[in-house]
Amino acid sequence: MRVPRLVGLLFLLVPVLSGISCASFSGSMTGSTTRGLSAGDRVPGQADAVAPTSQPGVDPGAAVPQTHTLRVRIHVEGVDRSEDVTAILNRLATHGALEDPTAPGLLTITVEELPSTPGGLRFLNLVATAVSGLVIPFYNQVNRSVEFRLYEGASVRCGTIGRTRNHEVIGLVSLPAMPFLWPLAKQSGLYLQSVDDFVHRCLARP
Amino acid sequence: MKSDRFRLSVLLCLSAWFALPALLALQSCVIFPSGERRIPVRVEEGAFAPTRYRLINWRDDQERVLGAVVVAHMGGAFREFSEQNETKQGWNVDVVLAPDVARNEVAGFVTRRPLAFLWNVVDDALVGGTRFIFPWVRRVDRLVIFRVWHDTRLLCSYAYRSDFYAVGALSSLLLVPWSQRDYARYDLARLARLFVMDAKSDGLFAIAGPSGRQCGARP
Repeated sequence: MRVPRLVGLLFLLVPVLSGISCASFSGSMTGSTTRGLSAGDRVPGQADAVAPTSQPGVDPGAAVPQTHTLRVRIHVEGVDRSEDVTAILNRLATHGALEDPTAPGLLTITVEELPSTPGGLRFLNLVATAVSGLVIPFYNQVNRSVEFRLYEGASVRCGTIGRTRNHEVIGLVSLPAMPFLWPLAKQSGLYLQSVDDFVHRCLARP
Repeated sequence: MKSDRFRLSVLLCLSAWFALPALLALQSCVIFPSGERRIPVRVEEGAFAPTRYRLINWRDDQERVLGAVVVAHMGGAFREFSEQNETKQGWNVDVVLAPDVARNEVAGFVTRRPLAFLWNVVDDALVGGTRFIFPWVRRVDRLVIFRVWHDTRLLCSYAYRSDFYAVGALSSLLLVPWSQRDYARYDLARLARLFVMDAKSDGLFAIAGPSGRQCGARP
């Protein structure tokens, strides 16, 4: 008699808990590439090298040097939360890149999703999580690429591609950490970090 | 020796008992279309100006094939249709697969579509609890957006939706005769032709350049 009751409890608990016990323990920019620079700006061989990015946790706004005020049209593609879009635009504005619908220049920000962990592993993990009733956590990796292209005329004056990685842990382990480590907050932080990287590489005054 | 063989056979039987339904459930995904569909009319071939395209957010190999299907079914209408390089000169089309909350990020899915998430979890539990007899039902929503640029100026955006239901697990084997296996491909080809039709009626991709007309909003 006891076992069916427990199973019923699990059926109730698992959907409810798996909804709220979702936390991101660490997220980071895993790489960043600069390209499309004019010859005078940087050494040609350096253009495609993958460079280390600024540390997460250090306030990136302080590290970025003074920039020119730049008026551009901004087009954001692939970000579905409007909060993230406004955060990106605000961060660009604080660095001096202001949105102006009548300006000739164009800045496109393209966010693309990249493959997560292999499907077989995800399936095994899902089965283990479901069978253990969230004691074994479910791990989900969210990989995205954030591409900036600053057009001058019809060609790209400067552009960067940042790769971000967010780790989602869903399970009883992450339940107490959930309010402090909400993955979406981490994700918008990663977007802002890639904005800082773009500003540092393309808009900074030499 | 004998007991070892016995153990091995029991193990094999058990693993087959557990693995076979899982394999069947993964293989037998039955596809059903949902809702009404707009059917495009044929557009004259090669009437549009030379244009460059860019595929955005088609993530894995499977989706890249679908993106290639979209491009292949658009390409005939253009005089020249090639992949975008770094410059945005003349006509450009961005073929965007809109980000889907249900696809990757769990936290986003929970906050944006809580009921769909709840259904997914309950359905998973029922499928596992009934040993892959209860049907595994998912609705696949794809929103394809075509953005038309001319010289770094965004002229129009067209959004088209492609929805279907995917049904899995053992009970879905009964539905196999009514399944439309290649529906996703055919539907994306339909969307590409719809876009070509709508762009034609809005006077886009003219060789002389963009006209001042507004683009109409469509479902």
